Amino acid sequence: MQGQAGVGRQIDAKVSFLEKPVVLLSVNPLNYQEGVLGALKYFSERFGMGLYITLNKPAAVLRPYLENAGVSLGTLVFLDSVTNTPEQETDTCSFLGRMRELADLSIAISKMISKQENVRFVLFDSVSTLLIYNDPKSVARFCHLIAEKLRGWGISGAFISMQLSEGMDMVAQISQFCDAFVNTVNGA
Amino acid sequence: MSKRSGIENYKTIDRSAMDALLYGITKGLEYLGVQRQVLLDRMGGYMVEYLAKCGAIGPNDTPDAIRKSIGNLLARSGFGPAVPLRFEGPTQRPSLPGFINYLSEGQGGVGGKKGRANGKQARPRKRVDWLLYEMLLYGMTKGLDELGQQAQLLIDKMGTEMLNYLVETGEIEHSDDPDVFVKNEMEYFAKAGYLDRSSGFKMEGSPPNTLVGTYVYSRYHINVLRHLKEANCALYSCPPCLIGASILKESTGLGVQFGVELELLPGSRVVIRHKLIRSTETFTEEEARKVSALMG
Repeated sequence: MQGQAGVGRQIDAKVSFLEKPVVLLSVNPLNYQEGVLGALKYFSERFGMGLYITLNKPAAVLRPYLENAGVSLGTLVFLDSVTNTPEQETDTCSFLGRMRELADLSIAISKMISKQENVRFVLFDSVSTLLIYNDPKSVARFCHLIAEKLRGWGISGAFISMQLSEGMDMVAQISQFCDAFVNTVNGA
Repeated sequence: MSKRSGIENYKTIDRSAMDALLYGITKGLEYLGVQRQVLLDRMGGYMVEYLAKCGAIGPNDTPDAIRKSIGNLLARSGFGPAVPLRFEGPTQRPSLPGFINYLSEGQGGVGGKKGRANGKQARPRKRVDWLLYEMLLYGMTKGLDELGQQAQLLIDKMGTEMLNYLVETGEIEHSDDPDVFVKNEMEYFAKAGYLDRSSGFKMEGSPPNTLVGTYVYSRYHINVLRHLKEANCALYSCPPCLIGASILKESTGLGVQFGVELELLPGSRVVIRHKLIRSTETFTEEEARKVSALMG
């Protein structure tokens, strides 16, 4: 296992030469939070303002955790589709309600990007969560669309995926739309 | 069981249910290799935490008192004296890191052939304290909570492995008809002492409408789920529901969104609504094109 800094180094080794990389990061469940934090710090330090799309943990839970871990919350806005709340917006967070459809999520991402003009990277946590209520083919198609849009908008991005015993085909498919695939265990 | 009048009468559960759960946990995390012990250790800590929540150990108990209380609880269910209790870190947090091997004792190891002897053969039936089963369910679920909502994928996989175990050991009879298969499953759980026989499922409408489960005297919903919610854990791990979902997925391709509504009613009745999800593509090429145009 490796620390957050190790994850950042691994990403850097693969994409430092790219101006606006889009990365697929496969994180071991044993050190999931560390892996996500490593990626977030890397993108945050390199690009500045970021959009954290969370399907996994409520923004209210993430904020204090990230702050304690040394991430500056002033450089992050959130799109939260896990908190069980009606659709609403604050200055730094857009709540979509739980597990919205992929079409709704796509539109919400583009709205957030156009509203938050300073956003320079997007972190998607996580692709695996989408598999709870969607088929792998649809999830891959969604990621393809988002990766294409990120390139069009000139924004960097990281899709996070938790390593599972199944779904490797989908990961392989998504990695084709990305500039790099980083596996936090094998360093492959 | 017919004379039982309340949840307090559900004091023990058939050991096969616990063996299935241990098997599900083991197989569900098997792909992580030896590293899975990290997650098992985490689960072991939450198991002891659950015993404290339920008052089985006191908040100010000394390590010796904790060892004694847990040892007695396990001994009442026929487990040996070598309880794998450890006190970890500066706070000396109690944990049961080796719970899988310990609780599989005498079963030839979970997943071992001896442990998976055909249930149709005469095998003395054993029962274990329901609190131990609750402890396992809580520890397993809370131990995965750090992964967030995506941990539900691991829990669902554990449900499928529980089903495999119970079918292979002859506890649940397989049927190609999903209604019959689910009925067999519910009969098993009623017989095992998980719920009252009047519990059951009914479909309201057709997908994506809901599957409504009524549980009577389900200690999972009344105790474990309450504690999980209090600990802000949104994961769902009721074994009959997980197994039912696995049957539905395998036979009809339908997915299940667990617990979109939950009502706790008088008389230890729990009404839970699960949403069924069609197996069709949720984001078609045509939809992606339309959405792409809208995104600019």
